[in-house]
Amino acid sequence: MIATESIVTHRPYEEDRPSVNGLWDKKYLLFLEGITAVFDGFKALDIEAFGIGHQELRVVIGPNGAGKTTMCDVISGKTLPTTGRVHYNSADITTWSDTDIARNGIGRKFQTPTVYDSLTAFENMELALPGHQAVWANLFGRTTTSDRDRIMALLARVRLETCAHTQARHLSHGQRQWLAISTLILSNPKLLLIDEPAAGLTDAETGLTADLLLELREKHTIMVIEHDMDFVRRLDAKVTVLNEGRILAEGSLEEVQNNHEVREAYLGR
Amino acid sequence: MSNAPGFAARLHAHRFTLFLVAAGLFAVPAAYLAGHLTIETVNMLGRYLTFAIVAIGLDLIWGYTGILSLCQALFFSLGGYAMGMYLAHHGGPEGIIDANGWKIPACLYVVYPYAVGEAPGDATVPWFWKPFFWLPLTVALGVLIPGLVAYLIGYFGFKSKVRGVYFSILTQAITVAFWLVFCMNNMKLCGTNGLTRFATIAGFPLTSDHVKLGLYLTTVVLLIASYLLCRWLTRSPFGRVLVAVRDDEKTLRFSGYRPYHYKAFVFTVAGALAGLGGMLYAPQMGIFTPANMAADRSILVVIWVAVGGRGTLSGAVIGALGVNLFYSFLTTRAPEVWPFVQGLLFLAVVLLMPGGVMGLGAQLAAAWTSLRARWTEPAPASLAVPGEDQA
Amino acid sequence: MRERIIILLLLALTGAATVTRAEPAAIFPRLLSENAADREAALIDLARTGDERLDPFFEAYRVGSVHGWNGQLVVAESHPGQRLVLLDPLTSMPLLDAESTPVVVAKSDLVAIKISRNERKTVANARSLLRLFSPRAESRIAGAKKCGDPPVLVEALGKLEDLAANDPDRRVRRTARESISLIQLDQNPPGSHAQVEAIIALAELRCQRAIPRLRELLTAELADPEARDVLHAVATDAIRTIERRLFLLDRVSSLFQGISLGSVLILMAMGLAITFGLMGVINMAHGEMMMIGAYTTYEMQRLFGSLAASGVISAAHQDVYFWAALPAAFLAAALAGFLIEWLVVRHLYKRPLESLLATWGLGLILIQAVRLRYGDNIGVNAPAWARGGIEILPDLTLPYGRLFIIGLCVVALLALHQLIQRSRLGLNMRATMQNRDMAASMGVNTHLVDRLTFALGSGLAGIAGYAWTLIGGVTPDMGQKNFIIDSFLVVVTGGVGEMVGVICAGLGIGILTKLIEPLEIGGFTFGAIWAKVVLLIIIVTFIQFKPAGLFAPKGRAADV
Repeated sequence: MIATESIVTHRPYEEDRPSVNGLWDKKYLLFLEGITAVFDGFKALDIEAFGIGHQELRVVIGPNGAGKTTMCDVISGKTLPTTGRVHYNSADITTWSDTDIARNGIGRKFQTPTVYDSLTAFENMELALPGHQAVWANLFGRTTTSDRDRIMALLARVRLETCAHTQARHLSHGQRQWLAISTLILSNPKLLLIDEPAAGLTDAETGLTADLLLELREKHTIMVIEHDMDFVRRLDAKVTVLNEGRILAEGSLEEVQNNHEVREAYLGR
Repeated sequence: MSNAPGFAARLHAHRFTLFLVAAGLFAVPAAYLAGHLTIETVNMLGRYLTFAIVAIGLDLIWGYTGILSLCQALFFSLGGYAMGMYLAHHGGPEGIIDANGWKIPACLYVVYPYAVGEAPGDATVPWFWKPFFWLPLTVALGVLIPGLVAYLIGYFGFKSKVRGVYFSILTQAITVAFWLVFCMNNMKLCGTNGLTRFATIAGFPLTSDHVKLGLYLTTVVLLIASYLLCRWLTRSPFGRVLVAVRDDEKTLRFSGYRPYHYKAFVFTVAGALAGLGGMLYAPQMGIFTPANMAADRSILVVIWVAVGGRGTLSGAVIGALGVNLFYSFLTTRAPEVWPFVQGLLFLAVVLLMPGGVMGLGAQLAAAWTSLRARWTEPAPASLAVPGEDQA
Repeated sequence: MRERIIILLLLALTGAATVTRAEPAAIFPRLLSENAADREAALIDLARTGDERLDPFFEAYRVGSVHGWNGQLVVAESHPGQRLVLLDPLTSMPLLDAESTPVVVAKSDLVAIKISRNERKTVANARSLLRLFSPRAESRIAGAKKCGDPPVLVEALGKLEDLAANDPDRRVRRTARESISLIQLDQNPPGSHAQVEAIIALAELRCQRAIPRLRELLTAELADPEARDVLHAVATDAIRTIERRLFLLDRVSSLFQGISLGSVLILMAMGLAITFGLMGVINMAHGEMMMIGAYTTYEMQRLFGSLAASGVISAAHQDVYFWAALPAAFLAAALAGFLIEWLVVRHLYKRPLESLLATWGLGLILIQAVRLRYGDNIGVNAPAWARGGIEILPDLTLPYGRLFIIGLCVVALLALHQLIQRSRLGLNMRATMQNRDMAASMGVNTHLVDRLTFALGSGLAGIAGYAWTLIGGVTPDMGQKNFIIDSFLVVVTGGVGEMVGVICAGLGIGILTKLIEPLEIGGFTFGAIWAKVVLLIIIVTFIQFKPAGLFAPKGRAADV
């Protein structure tokens, strides 16, 4: 546990930076070092050091415009950072394309659940099957029975097994969220980036989602971006607070909520 | 479990194919042989069905993959020129034997662009005409060349993430560039006159009724084959990926796919299909000019598919046939009205009938359902705002 | 022949020295002489009087209408009834007899002047010489030019030298100097010192006309090999110097044409960038907005023409139509755009592919409507002031029309900038573009703003069409044929929604096109079509590296 006063001045990752420590990847699966992202003169991100350990569930919170989604963009390869390096799984992936990053085990769920409206839930899942992305495989391959079972099991987990053959456009918002998360799980990534999984869900649905994530934590490393504090509390994980592109504080949810700088950032000057 | 329900279900699933076989391979020829249809009508149907092949290709890339290509007429013309050059080689008798022993095709001879100081005896058959002397090679090239050009355009276009509308504009620009070049007489492709003076194909005279019927039947068979090919493509997992590309390409990349492989693939297939259509068109039309690759011809293909219903291969065929039959009907009676009708078709399809003819059924059904719901619902409470729950 | 020329030369020089400005009437009787040489000398003297009225007289002389009648020199014109009416040779007015009626005679009453072939040449020369004396600078230039062109007019040397030294007009002096050197080039034996000096002078003057003759000299046979080498070297050098300058001027001219073409492209593309960048709508009917502007200009021309014909305005003011056509073209196109937005486009926001098809259909309708009304090709005459240009260098003239277009583009862009950045409407437009809902909640009538934005873009295209009438043909499909694709390419290359990008891309594409067109590689000239193809390849390659254009909008909101 870290003392309240030293949260702001403590620079927790200093010794672990990959440029300094060759064994950084023993402790961390993901490490951002010296990352800045500048768009048209506006500095969206300015992260000196940030790391997520193996099989850790980390929650990132922050006011609107703090740069949380930009951080995800940089990690998943959607945006190239202006400076800095992104380290993942013992490699420097800063300049990798989004496709390559995806194939190497980073899966992402976006803010608005990205499902293919014209395809059924089942078909959406089929697309996410790992190893099936080449053209020839799709021309001549077929989904195996074991794959089919796996898909149905996952759909059952999120209560979508009855909607398996409904077009995704007809699913409710909450169902689309779950479908998006399920496709993510199916692709079996090492690191999951989940952007606002609880958005637009009812209380009951939120509880189910939290349970799902907690289950996943056993086998995957997860970074969750959220606003819903009840949801975050349920996750019972280490929290990083982002504000104006910088890391403001880190610690348990209570510690962070009691930090007066964090309160100022949320409530405004 | 008896075979009957399974068989019936399979028949139902292939109903459009059966319709094509029945109407195209049986009904029309029977009507012709019985004297109800003239050979000109059969020929016209044959030509319009070559358009349908092009339309199927476009539906594959536009309806399913979301790529609006405005250069299908270019690929059509590349195939048409291939076959046209073959036909010109074996065409009219005008023309000399050049210094290399090749007879100059008649249509090239009459517009041959002599360099300064050259006499009529100096004309030679250009090297790029020579492969098209033999039919098998011509057929192969007529599909491969458009396919290759399509692949190049698709590869460079899609790889650089040129998307949506930009890509469409680019295809338009490429079409115009090709058209300009093909119109130039000194390219030794007969300029704006085009390829003419055809006489025989594989030894059979093009003017013979039997040959025309034969060409028509060949077109129908190849149309059905194209339809089945595209049907197979769209129903396989490959087809799913195409739909995903259309709906949300960005997300697909985050699932580890490389969408541009898929797009380039279908673009090539569509280009090859269009080339096939062009090859079938040339002998049935008797002439092939650069006008076939003008910018507006490519947009016309889009309208055929849009009117028929994009995203349904059968719609492409219906649209191509329907619009062209309408065009033929209108231009014999009031030709100056056609551009107005064409323009109105564009507007109507976009604004009123986005699903086209095939989608019209669903559209009407949906409208009917919502209408009925409004009538049978209890009178709205005072708080409800009328008209808010439109479909 | 040569002796006669020398005699004439001497006569001319003496004549010039003694008789500076004789009266034509005094010289006329000499034309009645039987001696051809006398007549030729008289013709030269006549030319030297500088009286401009002699020009038609020389023409009449050449065709044999000049006769003698009762000792007088007259011009005879045919009259009904196989008779001839007599005109004064100088004034061309009919001669009047005692009763003040025109004198009419029979052919037999006249003494014909039999003109030899040599004399005809002399008449031509006399006319050129005459022009040298004209009070108008243009005539002097033309005359001086003709004297230097083969066959050279040696008799003119005296007057040419006078012009070269003393004429107030710079161009006359230059042309005279050129012609003097050209005559010396021609008259002196090949390889002689005088000829070499003439060649050097011509090189210094960068005289374009000398090139064919210099080329001939390169193949001249000379007895003395050393002299031949000298001649060869000097001539080659001169040719190279002159050609280099011509090449440079040609490039400058191409550049200028490229800028004016680019200006029209920019106007078109700006309108497109506004509608596409701000509203996510592809307007394929944009080319037809340009066409509407061009046809409005035509209608204005007709209107003013009929006003002039019916006397409402004077004929001299007819060209005012051009100024009236500017706002008219803008308004007509803007109105059309307004209607299109209201009827069709507003249903299609953020749906670029659908709007592409729908507006294409609209374009077809518009084209056919215009074609049925106006036919396939009409001519819009440029106003009088727009023909001609500024001659900033000899051999380099910048046409007024193209200068006007460039100026118009600059003014329009400035006005647009002011409108968007400073005015209330511009503020509303920018707000609606950036966040429609917010703007609407603040009371901005976003629908009206959309309509006005579309109208503005269309109006710009109308101005482009108006400008185009100065340099191109007006047909119903002019927008489709020439401009719509080019404009889109400009927008795509420049970066959607980025005004600066559009300007750079438009200028770049216009200039590149015009620079590539005359380019020659190994005997193959590019020409308009291949220039277009090359440009397309360049653009496609460019897009590979920068798919969002030159000045791509960055950041998250930038996904198209």
